[in-house]
Amino acid sequence: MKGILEILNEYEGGRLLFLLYLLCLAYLAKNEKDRSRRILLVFLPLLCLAAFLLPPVYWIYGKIDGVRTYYRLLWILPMALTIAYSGVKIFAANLRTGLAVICALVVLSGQFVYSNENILKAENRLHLPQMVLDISDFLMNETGGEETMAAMPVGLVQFVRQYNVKILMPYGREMQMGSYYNEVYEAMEGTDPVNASKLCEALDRYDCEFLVIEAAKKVDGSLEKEGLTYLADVDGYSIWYCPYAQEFRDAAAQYMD
Amino acid sequence: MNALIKFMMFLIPAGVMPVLSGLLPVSFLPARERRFPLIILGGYLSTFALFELLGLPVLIWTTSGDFQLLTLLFLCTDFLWIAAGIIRCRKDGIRIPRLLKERSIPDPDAAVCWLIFAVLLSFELWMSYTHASFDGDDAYYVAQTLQTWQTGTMYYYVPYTGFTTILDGRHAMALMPMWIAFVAKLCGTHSTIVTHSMMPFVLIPLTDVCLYQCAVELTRGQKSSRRRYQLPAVMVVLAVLQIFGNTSIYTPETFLLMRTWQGKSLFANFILPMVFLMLLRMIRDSWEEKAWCCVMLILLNTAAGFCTSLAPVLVTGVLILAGIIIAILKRKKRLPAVILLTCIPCFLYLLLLLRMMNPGAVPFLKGGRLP
Repeated sequence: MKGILEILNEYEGGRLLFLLYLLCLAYLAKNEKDRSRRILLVFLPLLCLAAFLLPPVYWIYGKIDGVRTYYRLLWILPMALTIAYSGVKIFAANLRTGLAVICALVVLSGQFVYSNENILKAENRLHLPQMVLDISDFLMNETGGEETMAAMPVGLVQFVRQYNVKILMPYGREMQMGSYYNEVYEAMEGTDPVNASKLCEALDRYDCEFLVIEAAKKVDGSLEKEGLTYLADVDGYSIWYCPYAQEFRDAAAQYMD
Repeated sequence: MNALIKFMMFLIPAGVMPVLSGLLPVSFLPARERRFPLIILGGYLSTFALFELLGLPVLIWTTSGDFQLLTLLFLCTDFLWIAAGIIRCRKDGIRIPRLLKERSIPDPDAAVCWLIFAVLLSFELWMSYTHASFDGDDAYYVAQTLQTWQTGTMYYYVPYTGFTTILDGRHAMALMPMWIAFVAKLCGTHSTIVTHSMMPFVLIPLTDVCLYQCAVELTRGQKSSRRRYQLPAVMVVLAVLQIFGNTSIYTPETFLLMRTWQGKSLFANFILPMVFLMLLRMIRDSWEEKAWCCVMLILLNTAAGFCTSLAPVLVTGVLILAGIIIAILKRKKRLPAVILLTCIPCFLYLLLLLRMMNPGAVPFLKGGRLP
């Protein structure tokens, strides 16, 4: 039960919108005369809410989809429609004032969606960080548009393949989601400063053709001495060429011939 | 200018074709009930349902998910669907919106309300175009769409890294990212631009059309003078709720404005309100609408799986639960049976999903890319 209430609390986010919904639900339960609407706006949501609060339902759902998404059961409740409908019903006689009151209540009990920290002014029509586009274009320019493998900093991995799927990566967003192991990731993000020889060994093993690393990142040892060639700095990221992958490609091409 | 032309091109597969597809389902209604919002809703349901029905066999029983084949199949089927709709509606026509017929605004208060709603909706659309909302799940869905758009395969590569992989059944069965790739292919625009910058122009208004139709049903029976004002008032409150509904990252309103293009958002903001709308229509028990209700419910149940693999479970559950309550309280004994029959697409979908997740459980489904 504790887990369910925590989910409900998180869904509500410390705001009063859910409470406003419950008040509207109570109002409709008392005042809605139409039987059909009572069934769909009051009885059905109450049953669904009761089911949501039942530990066996929580347990079964957890077995099917995992409890992480249990909050989605709350989507069944027609919250927005109930608030809007009961609002205009309450203020039917003086809707002009009523509309202002309902809107004010919603504004006060909710939160402005565009104040969310994950919403930023778009830098381009793809809605991706411009530096990702610049870096990807640089890599594609280097390979002449051919498919390539590039190791990227963890902050960029989720965007690169939304722009160009010809850039393969030894690891992607999955590293931010769970406790996976990846040698390149460990070498790039596991230690500060980065161990140059360890990183180059990992890049070699994954046939990476390029390394993209924050220009300001401290490196223990020299990437150049390990055989990498510095190409350029793009938007605060250094791009290095790894010749090992070319050796692998040449060997593969020879084998195919 | 170029961007505007591309946007117009985008509107053909994402706006015009789905709306025309709505003529066939609405043809099951009497001519006076064939309202434009119902055509739009039926049209998008038809598009999503058809795409899902044609997409799943292509996804599973072609080597790497032949996207070109799916595109061709869907185009042909959709054109046939539209043609059938035009033929069926040709005789009686559709109902022309009152605003176009009367060419006047009868109630100034209502007009002001509609204007406020239009401003709020325009604000949402403007923000969706000029602002980027970063969501980690895009690394999966948007990359998957782009992969299909660039390589012509479906769910053949891990979207995070680009390595080939076995079919990820749980995610792959919801084909919304593939539909976006289809739209991008037809309008010749980078699929990520279509996803992030263009899709909100179709999907946010679609949600509002659905909510509007729900409001029409809820205010039915009121005096027409009062209702004329109540309808836009409900829409204004709903728009304010969308903009201020971000109490957490989990609410449907947050999904609508921050992850518009993801199947989960479509499920919460279109499919579930459609379930509610269909229940409101069914409970009226108008004999003229029975065939239309059945067609729409079948489409709705098929389209649920297009959004997310969880959708068929919840849609079936809510429909059956509501059917039982209505049967008890309104003495409609046959209703649960009818609802159960229209849920067959969901049951088949769940069977296939079970086969994907647990191969031993459904041994008779074999071949293709099934695990």
